[in-house]
Amino acid sequence: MSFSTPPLIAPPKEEAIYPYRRVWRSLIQETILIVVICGVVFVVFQYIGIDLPALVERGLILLLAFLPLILWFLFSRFAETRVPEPRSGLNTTLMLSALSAAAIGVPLVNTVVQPAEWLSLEAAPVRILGYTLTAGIVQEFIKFLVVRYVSGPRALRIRDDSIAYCIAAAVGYMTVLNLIYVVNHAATPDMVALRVLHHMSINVAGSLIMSYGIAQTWFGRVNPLLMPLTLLVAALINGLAIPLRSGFANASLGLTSAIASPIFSLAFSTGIVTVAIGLVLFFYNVVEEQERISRESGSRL
Amino acid sequence: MILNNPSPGRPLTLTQRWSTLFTVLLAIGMFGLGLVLRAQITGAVAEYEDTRIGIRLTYPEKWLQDTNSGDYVFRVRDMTRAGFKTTIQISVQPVSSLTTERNVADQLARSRVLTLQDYRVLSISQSTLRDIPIEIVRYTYNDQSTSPFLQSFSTVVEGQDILTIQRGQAIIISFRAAADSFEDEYPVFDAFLSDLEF
Repeated sequence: MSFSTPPLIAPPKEEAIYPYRRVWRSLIQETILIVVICGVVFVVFQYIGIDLPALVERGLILLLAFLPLILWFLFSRFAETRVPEPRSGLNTTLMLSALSAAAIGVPLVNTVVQPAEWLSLEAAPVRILGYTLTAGIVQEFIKFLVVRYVSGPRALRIRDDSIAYCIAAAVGYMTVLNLIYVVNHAATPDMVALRVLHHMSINVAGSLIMSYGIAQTWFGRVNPLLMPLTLLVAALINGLAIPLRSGFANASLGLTSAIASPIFSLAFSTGIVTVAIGLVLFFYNVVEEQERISRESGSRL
Repeated sequence: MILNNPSPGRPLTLTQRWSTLFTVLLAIGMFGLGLVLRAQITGAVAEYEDTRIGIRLTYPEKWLQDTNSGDYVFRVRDMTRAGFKTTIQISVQPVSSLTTERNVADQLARSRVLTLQDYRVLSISQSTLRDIPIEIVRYTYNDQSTSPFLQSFSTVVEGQDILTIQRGQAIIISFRAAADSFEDEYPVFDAFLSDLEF
């Protein structure tokens, strides 16, 4: 006696293999790990007060500075080698972004424009505007130029490619910012952890928003002003985050006591990157869903 | 669902070209606005006038003004500076009709040796400030005026005095800044002198 397959059961669905690395998964894994590691280091050194030997502490500080780069290599770059259609030019994007930051971006902002010198006494709106028009626009424009002219339109095959290259540029830029901070400041690991988290949050948030503009310009039918608008928003996020984070991290003068609240700085940076990832993921899902619906309705006609 | 680029490697579309151009123009424009904002903030000045000694001047708006001292008639300091606060100060001393600018410079040097740590005169020269003869004295000393509780190193200060005698009184205009930032800060003093009337 033999049994055949019941005819009412549908044959198993053949799963389409996604040939590219899933950038959102890598990005979210890296972000969570950076937030957790920086948070743990901050709590341990700020509230428990561990005293490490100087050499070990220096090593930990350097490790924190390179943390985004290490995690990017582990979760993004190596993962790229295990997929059928890897993205090419990610290393070049990262390196050129880092070199541009070190050679142009950071000297232009810190040595030539020096916004911290003339904005420190200004009112909050002026500080936000000042940082947007100087540090914010320089940082985001350099990363945009690297992605636009180095990765180029040839590298963009799907929407997610835009995220992958923009995040590579962001990791390069933030690594330089981290290194410049730890080299020029005799900071303790908790302060370095806060700064690394801050650099990560503004760079990831800015680059994600910029990536949406690039992706829509390349894959959607949008107004040519969308990409400049996303650059403006990315710069504005920097302009908002830099003075607000300083306000949280530094003690304010008052009649009672001057107490800094760096824990708010930690929460603020985490909030910025979380909101940015959530919003941009939502926008990507919306446009992809819209395209799917329009394609399906088009094929039915 | 994978949405492939419809034209990988092909020439850019018109939208992509315009979008790139607008982005570059926006970035350049925004950075230019940033420089304008910087020039406006750093160039903002406040006016001050003292009819008692006959001076009218402008000074950087955000600097802290102090006229309540017996040692000087006017002083402004950049309180945003870490360490030594860059200072512009005007003091007035009555002098006899025979006193020259050089006498005032020597007298200042003698008194400062006693009050300022490691005070050294670097140079003394003559010049004119809007046709008024002046004596320019450059000097340096170690500033130890910061709070001892901060446990900081003393700061090497570089200074420049401009001395002139007007209406029977010696007017001493001093500019002092940390030695490592003296040259960077000097344009502020230049702007101060260009607006000074006495």
